[in-house]
Amino acid sequence: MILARLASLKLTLIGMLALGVGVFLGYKLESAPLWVMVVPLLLLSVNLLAALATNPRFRRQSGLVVFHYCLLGVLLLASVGRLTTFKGHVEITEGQGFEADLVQLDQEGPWHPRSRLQRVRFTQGRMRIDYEAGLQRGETRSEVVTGEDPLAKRIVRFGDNVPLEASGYRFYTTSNKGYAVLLTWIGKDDRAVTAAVHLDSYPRRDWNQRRRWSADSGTELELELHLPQTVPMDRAWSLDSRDADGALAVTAAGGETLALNPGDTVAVAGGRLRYHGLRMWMGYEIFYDPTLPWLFATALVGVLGLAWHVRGRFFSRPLPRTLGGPAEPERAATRNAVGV
Amino acid sequence: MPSVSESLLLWGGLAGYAASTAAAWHGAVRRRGHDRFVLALLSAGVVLFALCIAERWVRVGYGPFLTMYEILLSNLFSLGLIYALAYWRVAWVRPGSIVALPILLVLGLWLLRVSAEPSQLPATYENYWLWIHVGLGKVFLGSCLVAVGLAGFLLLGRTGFFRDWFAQLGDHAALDALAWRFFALAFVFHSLMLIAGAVWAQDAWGRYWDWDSLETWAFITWLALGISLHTRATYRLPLWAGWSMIVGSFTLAFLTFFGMPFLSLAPHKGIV
Ligand code: HEM
Repeated sequence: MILARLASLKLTLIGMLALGVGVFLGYKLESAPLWVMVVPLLLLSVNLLAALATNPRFRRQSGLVVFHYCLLGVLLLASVGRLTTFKGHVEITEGQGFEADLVQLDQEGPWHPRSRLQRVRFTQGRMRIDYEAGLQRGETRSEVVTGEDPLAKRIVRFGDNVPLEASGYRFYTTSNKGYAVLLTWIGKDDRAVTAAVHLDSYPRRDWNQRRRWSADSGTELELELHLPQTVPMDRAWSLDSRDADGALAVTAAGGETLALNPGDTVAVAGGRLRYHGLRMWMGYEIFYDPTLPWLFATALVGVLGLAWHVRGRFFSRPLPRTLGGPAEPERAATRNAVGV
Repeated sequence: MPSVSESLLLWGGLAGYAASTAAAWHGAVRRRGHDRFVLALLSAGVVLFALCIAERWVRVGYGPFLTMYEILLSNLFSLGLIYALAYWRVAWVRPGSIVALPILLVLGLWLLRVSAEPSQLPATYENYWLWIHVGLGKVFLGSCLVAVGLAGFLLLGRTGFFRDWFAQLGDHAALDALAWRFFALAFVFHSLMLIAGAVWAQDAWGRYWDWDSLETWAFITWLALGISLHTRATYRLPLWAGWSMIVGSFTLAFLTFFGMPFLSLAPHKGIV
């Protein structure tokens, strides 16, 4: 009795309308709570399960049943996806290995297996980004080397439409990339620290290729990159990590500015600074959702079921061959209409 | 600026569609069949639009996917082509042309008002899922256009405007059934379009669904089609209510296709 009520097709319509309203509210109001969509979806799920259990007419139509089960399947998988998902971003310098600890978290579902990201291993290789005149970004290409074992090393090339896949994570190149200066600081105690200092995004913020860097606890240095090129606006060009080259100006607090070329070492602020050269870094977005292939397959099977149903219900009876002929009295309902 | 021959092709295509619409209406008002004329003029328009797109494609170096002008142009071609095929193969589709063809003309007039300046294709558009997605979308909208032509015609018949012609056509149930047949087909293709779009979005932007404007309205359109089919299958509705639902769903689809992409450029990342 309760099941029959829950299976009501009136409830289905109410649920679908409520879902439409919920989606609209979620889109219009930033602050709309999640339940405006979740409640209609739960209502529709219960309603659908009840209908599948009790409605013999419904159950007889196999294509339709497949379609509706797949609707439920997509909903379920999308929910599991939200619970297991991971979204983050990271900047990696050419020559540097991926390190999970450097990743900035954007979103993580409670079921995401935390330690999994540690399994990802690759080393950043060359990158190249093409531009049309007027600084319109074209293709972005990135190369990484995967595999620990030197014999099993593999170069993977990817970019705009093809993410790098590693241990179930997808790494997407972004428009965020720039230069990194590779430095070694040798302090008074002769301890050497080597670092790749990332400068601001390039070419988007080409006017700001400078930053402050703490060499060790006591030493603050002002770094400024001098590139041999300016960003050409009037022609197509490529930003290629192979061409990365530039002089570095270093200023210690209260001191004079020193110019360094790649390979130079200078004494500055009580230590020594060696400028190895210029590299590029690439900003990646990282995405993990193990449900993706299942979602795709479920949605596709659902549509196949729907197509099968539509074929049988709407396309099985031929239309009259010619226009005209005796007018049939119009019926209040369309059930018996031709082709239905 | 479009080249001279591109403009000529465009105007030629528009003239073909306008003449085809005029022939369809003349046939309706005078109760004479001009079917061959309508089809020939429409087909001529389709060919001219195809040539216009080809010429522009060669000139600007990318397909008609990006600007409002390009999207209107490519839909004028694809909707015209799908409609012409349906008109040619299924005689029962033809009465709907007095409603469907003016809709094409609206697109044509709109096209004349927007800038033809080319843009640059973002790298994320170089993806074959985009082609599949766009292709499925075109079949969806084309099927929906056939359905809305018939539903609109049937509704007009109710107003008494074309009562005599309407009566002469005879079997209205066949027209009604055909409208729903194309509408159901449209629902299948809309569902496929959403799936292909999600795959593209995942590849290009790292998420398969993000509820941006276009995605939200595409979902609402899908739901509207689902609700219409559902209501018809589960209630004994008056016929006019069913036709109105087809018209309503098409209106939503039309606004989603031609209104939404240009309110939000958020999903089209690709600069710097
Ligand atoms: C969630 C609860 C739902 C229930 C209980 C339900 C139930 C049903 C039933 C019983 C039918 C068969 C009607 C008949 O032939 O007598 C049907 C058909 C159909 N449903 Fe659903 N449905 C649900 C959700 C949806 C949704 C969300 C959509 C898509 C937006 C949808 C799309 C369809 C379509 C396209 C048909 C075929 C209509 C036709 O054959 O004319 N349904 N549904």
